[in-house]
Amino acid sequence: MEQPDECFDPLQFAVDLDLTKSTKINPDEKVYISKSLINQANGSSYIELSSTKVTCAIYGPRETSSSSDESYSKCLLETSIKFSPFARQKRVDPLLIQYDNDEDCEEAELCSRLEEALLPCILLHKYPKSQIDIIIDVIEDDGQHLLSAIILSATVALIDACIELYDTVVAKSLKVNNSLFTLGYMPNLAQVSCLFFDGEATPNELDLLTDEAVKQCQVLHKAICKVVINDLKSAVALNRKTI
Amino acid sequence: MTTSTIDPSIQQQLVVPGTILTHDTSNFMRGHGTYLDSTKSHLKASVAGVVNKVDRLLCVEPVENTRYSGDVGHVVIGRVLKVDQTRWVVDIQSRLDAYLPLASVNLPGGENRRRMEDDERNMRQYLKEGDLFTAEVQQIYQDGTLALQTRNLRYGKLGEGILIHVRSSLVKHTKSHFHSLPCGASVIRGCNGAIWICPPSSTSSSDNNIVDTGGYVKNIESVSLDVRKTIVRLSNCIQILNRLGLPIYDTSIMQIYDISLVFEVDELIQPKVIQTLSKQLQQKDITNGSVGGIDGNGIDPYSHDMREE
Repeated sequence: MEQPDECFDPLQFAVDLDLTKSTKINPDEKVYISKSLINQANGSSYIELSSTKVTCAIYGPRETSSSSDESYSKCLLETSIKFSPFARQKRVDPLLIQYDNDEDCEEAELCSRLEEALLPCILLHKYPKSQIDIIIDVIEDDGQHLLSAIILSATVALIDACIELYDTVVAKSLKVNNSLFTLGYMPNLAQVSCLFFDGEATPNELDLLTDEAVKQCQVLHKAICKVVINDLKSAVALNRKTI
Repeated sequence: MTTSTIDPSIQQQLVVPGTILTHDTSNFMRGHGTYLDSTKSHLKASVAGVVNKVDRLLCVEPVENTRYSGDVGHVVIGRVLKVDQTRWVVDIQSRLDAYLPLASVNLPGGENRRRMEDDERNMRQYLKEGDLFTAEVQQIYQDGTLALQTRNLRYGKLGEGILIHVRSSLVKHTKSHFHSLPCGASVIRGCNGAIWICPPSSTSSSDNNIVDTGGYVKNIESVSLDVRKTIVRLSNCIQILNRLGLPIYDTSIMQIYDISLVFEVDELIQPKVIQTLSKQLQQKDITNGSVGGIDGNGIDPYSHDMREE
C-alpha cells in the first residue's frame, strides 16, 4: 500500500545535528506522523514507520475506578493493544482470548513494555485519583518497527491530549542478524526510558547498537517536534486569541 | 545531547514538552504547563502550546483541549453517576467527578427543615443515576475535586431539552448564565462546556431571567413543533459557534440565530452554509474585537474539500 504524500524522510530535519558517517539511517524508511484524528478521544495519533501502521487513542485523565492506595497520590496508566486481523502475513484471530500465562500473549507483553517506556515521562503526581487509558490499534506490522511505532504513537497522542510530560519519548528499533533492539529515548533529558533486546549479541555490539539508536532517536525527535509545532501554528491561526 | 532552547523573548513562542523556557529560575514563577527540572536550574515546558509570560509568571497554554478545572461560583451542568451515602457523584466532563453533598441541596418542606435519617434513604427520589441538573461550585478540595451546591431555587433538576457540549473555554463568564431568549427558548450555559436548551418556562415572568423552578419538579409536558424547531436551530447555531471558536454568550447566540433564519434548520450542518454564516459573522464582528476561528477568507478550517473554491 502506498504511503501518504506527506510522509517524509526524517533526515531532512536533522540539519543542525552533527551526523557522523557511522549513522546508518535507511533513506527508504519513511515516517508519517499525524495527530487529532479521533474526535471522541482526548488525544489521538497515527504513525507510519516504513510499513508499520499504528493508531493510538488516549482517554483521560479521568476518574479512576481503582481504589488502591497508589491511585490516591498519582495517576494510573491503563494500556491496551489490539492487532487488526490483517496486520500480519498470518491472520490474527480477533476473538481469540489470550490468558496471562499464555506464552503467545504478545499483546500483554507489548502493553507492559509500553508502560515501562511511558511511565518515566508523564507527570503522574499532577493527576491524583485519575487514570489515563491508552488504546493502541495495530493496522499493519512489518516485524521490525512495531514496538517503536507503538511508543511513538502513544507519545504523540499524549502531547495531543495535553497531558503534562517531562519530555517526549522517541523510540527506534534496529534489526541486526535476527536480533531486535528497541530503545526508548528522551532527548531533552538525555535519558533512556526503556531498552528491549531480543536475540544474541556481545556487550560491545550492544554498546554500538545503543549509540546508533540514540543518534537515530535524536533525528526522529526533530521530526516529531516539527509536526507538533506545525499543528500548533495552524491551531493558533485558527483561534487568534488575544492572550 | 540535543536540548531545545529558546531565546529570552519567549512570549508567544510555540513549544513542545521538554523545551527549556528559561535558566533564570529565581526570577520567574511557575505557571501551568511548566516544571522545574531535577537539577533545579531550568524551567521547562510540560505541554505543547504557546508560552505566555505575564510579568514574572511563565506558563504554557495548550491551544485547544483544555479540560474544565472549575472555580468557586461557576454554574455547571452535570449528570448523576452514583448515589453515595450522603452525597451524589456527578459527571461534569472534567478530570475528576464532582460531589453534591446532601447538605447542599434544598430539601422539600423548606430550607430550614432539620435533616432526618429518612432523607438519606430517599435521596434517589430527588436525584437518581442519569439525572441532569444545574448547580454552583461551592468549594474545591485539595486534589481538584469540586463540591457543588443547589441551595438556590434557580438550580436543580432539568426537564426536557437538548444538552450539547462545547469547549469550556468558549463559554463566556457573565453575570447570569440563565437566559430566556427572545426567539422562544431558554438557554443555560454551564461553565464546564455543557449547554442546555429547553422550552421557555410555562410561567414566565415579565423580566428577562428564567423563573426559578429549580427543585424536584421535572416539567414534562408536550412541546409544540415550532418550539422544537427553535430549540434545534439554537443547538445547531451554538455548535457552529463552537466549531468556529467564538465566545458563547447570549448576544452571540442571538446574533448567529438571527442570520441563520435564512436557512432551513437542517441546512445548518452543511459546510457551505457554515462558511456563509462565518463570513457574515466576521462582517458583524460579534466578538467585541477578539475575532477567533475565522481566517481571512472566512473559510471554515475543518472543511478541507472547500479549500479549492
